[in-house]
Amino acid sequence: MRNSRWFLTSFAALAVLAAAGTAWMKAGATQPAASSTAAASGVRGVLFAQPFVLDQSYSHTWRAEQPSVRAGWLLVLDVDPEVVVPQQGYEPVLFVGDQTAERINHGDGSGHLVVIVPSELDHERGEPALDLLAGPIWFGTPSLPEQVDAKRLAEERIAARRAGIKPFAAAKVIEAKQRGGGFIALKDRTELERYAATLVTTWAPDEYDLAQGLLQPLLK
Amino acid sequence: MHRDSPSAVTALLRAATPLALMAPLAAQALSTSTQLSGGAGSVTPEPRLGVLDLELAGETLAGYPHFHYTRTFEIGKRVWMAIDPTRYPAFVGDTADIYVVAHQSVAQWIANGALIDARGAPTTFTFQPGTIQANTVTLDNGTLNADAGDSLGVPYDVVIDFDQDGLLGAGDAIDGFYGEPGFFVVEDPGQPGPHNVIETQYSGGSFLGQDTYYPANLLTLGQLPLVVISHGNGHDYRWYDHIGYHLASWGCIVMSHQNNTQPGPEAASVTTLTNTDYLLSNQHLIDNGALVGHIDATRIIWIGHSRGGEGVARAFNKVKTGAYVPVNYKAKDIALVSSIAPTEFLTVAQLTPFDVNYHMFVGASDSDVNGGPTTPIVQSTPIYERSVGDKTFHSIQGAGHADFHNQAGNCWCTGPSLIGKTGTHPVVLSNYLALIKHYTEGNVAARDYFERAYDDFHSASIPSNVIVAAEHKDAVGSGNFVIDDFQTNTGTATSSSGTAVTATVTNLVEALMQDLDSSFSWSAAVPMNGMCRAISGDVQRGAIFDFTTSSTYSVAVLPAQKDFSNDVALGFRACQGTRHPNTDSWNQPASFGVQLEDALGHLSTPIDFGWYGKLTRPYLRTGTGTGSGWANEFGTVRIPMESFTRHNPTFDLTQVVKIHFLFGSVGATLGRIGMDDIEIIAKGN
Repeated sequence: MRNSRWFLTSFAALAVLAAAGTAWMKAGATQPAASSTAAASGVRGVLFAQPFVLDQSYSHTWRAEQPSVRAGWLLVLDVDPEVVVPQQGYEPVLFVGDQTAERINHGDGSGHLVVIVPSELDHERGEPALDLLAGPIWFGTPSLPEQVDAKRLAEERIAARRAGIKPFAAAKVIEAKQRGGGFIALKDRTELERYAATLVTTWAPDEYDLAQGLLQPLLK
Repeated sequence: MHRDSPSAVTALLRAATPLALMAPLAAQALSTSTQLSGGAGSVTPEPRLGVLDLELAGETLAGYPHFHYTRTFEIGKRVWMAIDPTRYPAFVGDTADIYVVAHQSVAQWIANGALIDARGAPTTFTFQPGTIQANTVTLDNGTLNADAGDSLGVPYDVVIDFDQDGLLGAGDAIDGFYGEPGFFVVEDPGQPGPHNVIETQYSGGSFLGQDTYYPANLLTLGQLPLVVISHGNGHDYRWYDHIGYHLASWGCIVMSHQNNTQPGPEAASVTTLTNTDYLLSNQHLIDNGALVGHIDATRIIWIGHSRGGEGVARAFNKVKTGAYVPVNYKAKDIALVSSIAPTEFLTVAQLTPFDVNYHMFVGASDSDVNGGPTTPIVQSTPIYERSVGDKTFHSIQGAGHADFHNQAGNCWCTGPSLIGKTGTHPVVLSNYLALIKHYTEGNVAARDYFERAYDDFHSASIPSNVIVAAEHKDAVGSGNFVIDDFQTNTGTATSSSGTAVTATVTNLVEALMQDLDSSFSWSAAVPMNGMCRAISGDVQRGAIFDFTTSSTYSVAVLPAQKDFSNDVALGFRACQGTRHPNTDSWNQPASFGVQLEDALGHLSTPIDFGWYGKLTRPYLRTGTGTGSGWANEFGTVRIPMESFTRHNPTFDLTQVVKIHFLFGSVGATLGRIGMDDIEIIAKGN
């Protein structure tokens, strides 16, 4: 695995704050422990936030429970490019409030990461129940998202709070939501993914080719 | 080719009998079961034609046993034939015409024995007394036709026409009469095949983006194997053009798909499964139905890279266990699973490939899935070890993680003598073609690419500076007899087959092949240093020891298994122990000697297997402790059984009581050696 600067920083924090968290790197460990490796520096801001709703649900494979998704947020995050360099080993899991986020692009060039965050709908407020003003956005312990369950998520949330990670300033979130605009209603996961690909071309133009890979002509 | 070796009976027949009388006498020999054993098995003249079916074609070796009877020759390489005059003394003094002819079946030979030399004219040769070297004849300098279309190998037979009548008849010798042809000449499998290729990209929806390659003349080709490629994390399904174009040009349909790797290998395994089904279900939608009727869903190959490499192993496991039920295919339809530098996040049970034909590439320079001992996640090899099907392994020194795909950028590599994509891809392409041709078409010629030592035989497309450690093991239950795989009778004095083991090598240990201290630094407290072959929960065991003087490791043979005369080879795998002082001191590829002992106490002449190919020196990569040297690299050794009787016809292969491995006196003068899977390779393997 690559020993990136981010990892070194993370381990330094780990040594101070939660020595037990090193267990995930040891031979034989199968599941990394939640810890305060949740790096406050990983996510620098929210640039774009748009709610979506689907006619047909899909399964969120980035959670152990694989919840059914009918709505949520499309976000563009400003991230530390070092944190999102793709690799084969454990990668830091991106959390948004009480949910794991699905990454659409890599973001290691532009520092802009397009993500899908599932959420129930809050019909009273007329937007996803996941409140971006109340929920922090952070990179948690390197892990496999498909192995993160509700218990683990709660542990990560506690670790993040202890690490001083807070929701972004309301003004920034509101600005991102204004930039995103209102709900976009889409048929299904395929349309959602293709729409997210267009966001990649806008926000991470260096990943144009990746976006094109998501936008191949659909067979009919 | 592999078959019975000749016995003295036929030589005596030849010596004492006019050629015209050979056939009836041979039939008599058969009917009376006359067997004069020279220890090398027996061969009887074919009762109808009276010909002798012998091994003839092969290659020269620089040292004893001086000749290697082989099956396959790549175009441009020299082809020889040889006779050991100590085993066939009746040939000595005879002048014969030696033919290279197009292979024919027995029925064809009986119908028409006319000899038409593929080179234009036969070679006339007078057999000499003395050595096999004196009776080695160049048959061809690499000019024989190798064009088999999109198959591999043009088959030939070699005929010694003793009566020089231009006909195959009584008393003549032939390599290729029964079973396999005498030899094959193959096109270089690292070069593109005969078909132009069409590439088409499309999507069936979320995680159903596919990049598909097929022969442009597909309409004329019938049903073809399907190769599915599952990329790694951060990779892209359009980064495998090199594999797609190559295999399609040789008659495969190749589909590389969008792979859901970021959640983890479990998710990736699902996209391997669903994309395979999607393609099979929706052929009519792709390129106006060009694929319809041309995909053979009973011959599917899964190739995965990195997390995708773990994913394909997991996918097969799920199909095999019923955890996933595909719509269009079954477990038996998966002809081969290949993992390129796979991660290993999941459990031992989840990543057991069972009996599928399994293959693995790893790059010794990989800086991502690095194969080191620090965490199981980056140790690919335990997945390979768990396979009980036919299995093949290639470790490529100088290859980085990203060298296996074709996207420019960071190679994710570290260490000396990096080879990049230009060095890595020919290894990948040529070996994939050989494996796929063998496991989807039963192509025999292709076997040599993974059965023989890499140094002995590999694609000419591979640059000469590329170092590859290669393993191959036949499936459990394939008929080979395991003398010692170290899995049972775990003391060092008893083999797994229950026989006595005696050794004068030092520091002999049998144990789980797991490096237990997360470091490649040499430590006497961690004898299995560098053995990243098992993780917690695994059972793969082996032996390791060292030597600085002449030493032996000897294992007795069960009385019931003493007859080696009808077996193909003695096989085992061995490696050098990384960062051990002896390995560092030797500092080069290594080999050692192998010797058999028969019931009368006769010893075969020691064979230095290094003449076939040596054990790689562990890749001189630093890190993960002090010193230089990466994970231990096993190499499979197969010594043809007949070679133990070379120039030694009194040695009795029917009465073998011991196998001696000789260290210090043959090959490397000192070393640290790991050993495993000592077995007798049965005919047909």
